[in-house]
Amino acid sequence: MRRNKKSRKILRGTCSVLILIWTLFPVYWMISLSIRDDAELISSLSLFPGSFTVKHFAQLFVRNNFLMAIINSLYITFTSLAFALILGLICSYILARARFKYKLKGPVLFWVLLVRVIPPIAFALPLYIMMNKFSLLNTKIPVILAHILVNIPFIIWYMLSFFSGLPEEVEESAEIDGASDMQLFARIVIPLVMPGITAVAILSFMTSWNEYLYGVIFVQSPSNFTIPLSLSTLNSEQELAQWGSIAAGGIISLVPIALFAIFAQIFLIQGLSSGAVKE
Amino acid sequence: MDAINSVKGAFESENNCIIEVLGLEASDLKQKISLDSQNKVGAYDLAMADDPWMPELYEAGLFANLTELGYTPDPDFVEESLAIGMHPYSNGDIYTLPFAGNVQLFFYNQKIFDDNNFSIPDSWEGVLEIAKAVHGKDGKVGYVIRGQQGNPIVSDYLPILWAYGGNVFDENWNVIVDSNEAKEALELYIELLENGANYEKNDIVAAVSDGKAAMSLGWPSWYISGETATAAYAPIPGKATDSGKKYATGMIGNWMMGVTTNSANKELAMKFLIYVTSAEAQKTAAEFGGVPTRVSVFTDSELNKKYPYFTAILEGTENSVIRPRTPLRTDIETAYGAELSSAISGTKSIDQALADAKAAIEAIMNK
Repeated sequence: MRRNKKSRKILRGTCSVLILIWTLFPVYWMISLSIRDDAELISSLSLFPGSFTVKHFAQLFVRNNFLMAIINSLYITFTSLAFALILGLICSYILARARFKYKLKGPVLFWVLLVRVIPPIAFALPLYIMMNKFSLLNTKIPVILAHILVNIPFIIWYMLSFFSGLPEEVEESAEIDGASDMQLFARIVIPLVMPGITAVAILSFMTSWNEYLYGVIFVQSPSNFTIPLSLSTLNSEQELAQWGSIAAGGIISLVPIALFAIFAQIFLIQGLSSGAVKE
Repeated sequence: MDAINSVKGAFESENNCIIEVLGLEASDLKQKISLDSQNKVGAYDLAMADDPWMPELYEAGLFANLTELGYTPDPDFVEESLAIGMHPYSNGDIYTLPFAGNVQLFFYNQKIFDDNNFSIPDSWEGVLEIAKAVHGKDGKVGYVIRGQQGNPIVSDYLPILWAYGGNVFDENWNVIVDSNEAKEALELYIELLENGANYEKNDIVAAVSDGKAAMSLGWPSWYISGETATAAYAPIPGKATDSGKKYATGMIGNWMMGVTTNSANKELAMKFLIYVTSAEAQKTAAEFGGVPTRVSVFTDSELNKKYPYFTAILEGTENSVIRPRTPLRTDIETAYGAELSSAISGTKSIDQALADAKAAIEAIMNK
């Protein structure tokens, strides 16, 4: 019995280590590529770097205007995330709670899901024509709107189970106590589903941060390049891939995601523990 | 992009304008300029395009007619490069000018050749002999093919097909990819693979320049070597066997630049186009990885000292072959590439793969 427990522990430990290596190795490999010099990058690569340089990081900022791409990515991601969260949470709550005439709830939910599952390229061309008609193509607005479009259905569906799972009695008590609809939603409902909001915010942030297709179609000027667009220009069919710079850009682009996830985790943990203790 | 950025400053100050350069990956570029061509006023005054896209883009009316705008052909451009800018090909009006003189070349490791006293082969039989002699010795690879489906394998195989006297279409646009010449060429291609390896472009450059592989085919824009280069370029062998007939085999792949039809600044755009493709600009751009398209730049003695492979590019361009001029090229390449890939992986026999390729290309042409 004790031996059984021990061997299960060893198995669990081994699996954890393997999963950890599997997960962290790409990050290690990216860091390791970003600090090797060009000569090493075009010869056979060993597991550990044989040279050290920060040239690729410097080149990104000096030659590729990467700082501008970072600023653009942050601006587009946070703006689209804010709008998507506000609109998505409101829609999701309405869909979870409101009674619809003519059994429209199912079709509406299916319609929302369709926006998410239809290939993005299907929206790209009609949106391009629309944005062009409104003369918006030279701005960041088309990309922001496209990111909102991608994230809203995801937020609605993700949050639907959180809102549906809330006991209606809590909301009824607040209403009896005189809370308006807005107060009820903002002060009672939202804090109760904070773990869900945090998780969906992290996932939507990542979708927007890494989005490429709408960016490449809508962006007309290098001054509006996002990080994925900027990195894509370093690997073209006509020239050799600049692996060092691509890896350096990948490492830099990881930082905001990691910081956002760490920051959001605070809300995740707070939300999970709230209501756990009866006061 | 570095090449354009290196020369645009002088034009900007002289003409009191700002030139914004949007650098994109090739497929994104094609998608973007095609989309923009639908707009009344385009976002771009000038656009670059790869030579095989030209029939499609010319037919779509993407580029303004430079001849109608008053441009007269400059004889300093390599004739074969300038011909790509004409629509119809080689004898029509000029729509685009050659910006980057890419042409496919024989790419080899100088040290391996020197150490073994090999001379540059002028036939594919000779290439195979060297590959056999090198392959496996000290872990070296004889010949590297670029056998990934689609454009890579088609671009890599066509020069061999041409050296055997074969082609994709005959002069009446009949599909002849299953000819005896094609079968022999594919047999040799597979034999080269047996005495080598199948890598993608970055690994090809790494292997050949590092001395791990002896030979391959490559494009000058992949590997801009200096005086200390370990790898070198030469024109692609034009004969199947030493005693065989010599054919033109260098696949031309120039990057062209033209004024967009919906440009709001056509005159200034054409002025910049003429400037950026001038000999003076090309000499400056060469220092930043630019590949010239003018005879006077290729033969410039100072540049030749620094870039000795310029002679090979010029020779390769003058003896180059143009890919089939059809707007359906992309579909053809995809279908052809899939069948060639099946043959080299052994999924299909050579006969079967080429027969299937013929059927697929005919179906595309008859659409």
